[in-house]
Amino acid sequence: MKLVFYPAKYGRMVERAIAAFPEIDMVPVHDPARLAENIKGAEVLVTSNRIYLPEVARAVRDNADALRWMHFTTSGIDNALKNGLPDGIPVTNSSGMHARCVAAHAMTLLLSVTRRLADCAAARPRRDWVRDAVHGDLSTLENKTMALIGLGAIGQDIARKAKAFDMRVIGVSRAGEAPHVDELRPRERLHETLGEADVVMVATGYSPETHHIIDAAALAAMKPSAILVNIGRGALVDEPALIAALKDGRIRAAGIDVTEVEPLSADSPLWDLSNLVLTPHIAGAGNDNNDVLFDILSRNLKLYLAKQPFARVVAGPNLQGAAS
Amino acid sequence: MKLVFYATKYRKMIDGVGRDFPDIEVVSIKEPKDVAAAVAGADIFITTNSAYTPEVAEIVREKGTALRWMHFTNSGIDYALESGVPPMVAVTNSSAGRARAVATHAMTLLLALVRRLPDCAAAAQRHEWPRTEMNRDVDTLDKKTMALIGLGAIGQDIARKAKAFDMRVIGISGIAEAAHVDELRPRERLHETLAEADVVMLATAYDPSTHHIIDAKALAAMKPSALIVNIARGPMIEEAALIAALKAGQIRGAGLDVTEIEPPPADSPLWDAPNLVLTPHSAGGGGDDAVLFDILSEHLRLFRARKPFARVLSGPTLPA
Repeated sequence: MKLVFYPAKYGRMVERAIAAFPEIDMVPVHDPARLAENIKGAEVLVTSNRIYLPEVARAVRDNADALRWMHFTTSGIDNALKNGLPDGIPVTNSSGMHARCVAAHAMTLLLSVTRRLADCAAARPRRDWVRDAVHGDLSTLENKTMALIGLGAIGQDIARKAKAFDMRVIGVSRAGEAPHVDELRPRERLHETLGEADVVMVATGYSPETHHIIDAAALAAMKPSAILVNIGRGALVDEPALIAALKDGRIRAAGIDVTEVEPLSADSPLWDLSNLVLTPHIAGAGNDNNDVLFDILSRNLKLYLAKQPFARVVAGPNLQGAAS
Repeated sequence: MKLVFYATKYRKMIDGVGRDFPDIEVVSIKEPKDVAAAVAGADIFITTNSAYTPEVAEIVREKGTALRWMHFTNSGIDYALESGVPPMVAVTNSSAGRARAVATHAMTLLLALVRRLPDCAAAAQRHEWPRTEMNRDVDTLDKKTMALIGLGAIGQDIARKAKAFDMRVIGISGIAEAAHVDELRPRERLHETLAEADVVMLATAYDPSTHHIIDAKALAAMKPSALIVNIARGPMIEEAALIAALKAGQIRGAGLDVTEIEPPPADSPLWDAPNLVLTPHSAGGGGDDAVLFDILSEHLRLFRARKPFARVLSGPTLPA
């Protein structure tokens, strides 16, 4: 059985997989030009969202003659879906792999705004001990209400962390139930919930349905004291509307790790907003990724080899009986 | 019964005492010059650590001959003890009053370091998006070990929050047990614990035994990848040694809310030290004053009922 690795990065995950499954013929491909010839005869392709460019999608569609399963080492597969996945095979992702890391980053953005770290940092070159200046505007998170949009692995871990800061968490999601959430509401009640929230946390997947879920009307529904955090995807938020709201002080501040166009264009007003904390799409970055990725891949590989269904597929059928 | 409230803030608290304890005569003052007249004949003196200067302390000791109880609306009273509290007066503090705010701030400093927020801010200023470069440097807290020095109300709340980030927490404290701590060790095992720690968190009270508890030797015991956070008191860290360690890359970073001298002098190397996140002793800011009022009310009820306080920092438990 042949498996092709074509992820964006080669780390310990690939090494560990090769060592752990000696019965599988694992072929790491580094050179995009060699993907077409190597994908021939492969049953499994392990790849990632960002690297799944139109030419990669084409190489896979035109040359994969034995492909039975595709696995993504990323949580998001929006780029791959856009560029086209082969029909009729199960597609799995690594959702949850970055969950703790992304949730930690989400809390970092929220806390740095709440504790006014940027103002403290800005005062340092002036050698200014801004104790009195920051004290009045400091707040904490306890007893504050978080509207948490999205309760996937990331959202659930954000909820868990928010509870350790004694927040009230209202999940806005279709999920039937979730731990660490005080209340669950359907998306139809989003605007009403935004009106109650001190913190709006965007942690949902991106789809046409969630495009600009935070638009001018949503921002207008928020309290002037509210903080918006987006660690999902840039296009979940209507960026010009956010910029206008921040400039006019219609919401207090925002912390974002994602923007509508990445990298952010050099002339974007986002760079220079004083009430915005911006990080360059690093919420998923951390040192333990390789171990987590290996765990997820290896769990799925074992199911595949045993011809058992995957716990969850993100595209295609979940038909393991067909694998040979 | 006469109560003197000497503080520049806490207007709501003063009003609350007047409302809930109408039998007590409340005198509210803000200026040191008013202390002498107010404290004469007073039973209770309420103030803060920073307001209780040596000058005020001298007046209180001299004129407050009827005083039986002194209460502080903040947690650390190191400065006040140094200024001198009257010998036979029961002294209480509000140790848990700001615990959650301070613990929140402690986690903020730690997360800012781990998630490299200063580098992000610097890049944003240059209009740069260093996603690939930063991927290597950004870290997480899960499975990392925290050496948590001090397990008072603040330390315990830091432990609780650290567990929500899946850290292993080793408490360094004399107490027998604490929730949210994976292991407890006595202070004698500090240096051994520092060598295991990815994060060293200072959350203990300042006294002669904790002066420079993190000195050059302690810093040398730490891992090169370690981070240190101090939200307690500046002189717990030998600042010159810390700055040298940061400059030499002997440890990875530090988050300080407190410094040896506050504010740091204009020529302090702290202003330019690398890998340092600095906040201006603001960890307690934004906390809920209602908690402080609850603590004071509880003490007031005990005092009025002539019952002993649960804990005093100086003087008798049961005021005369």
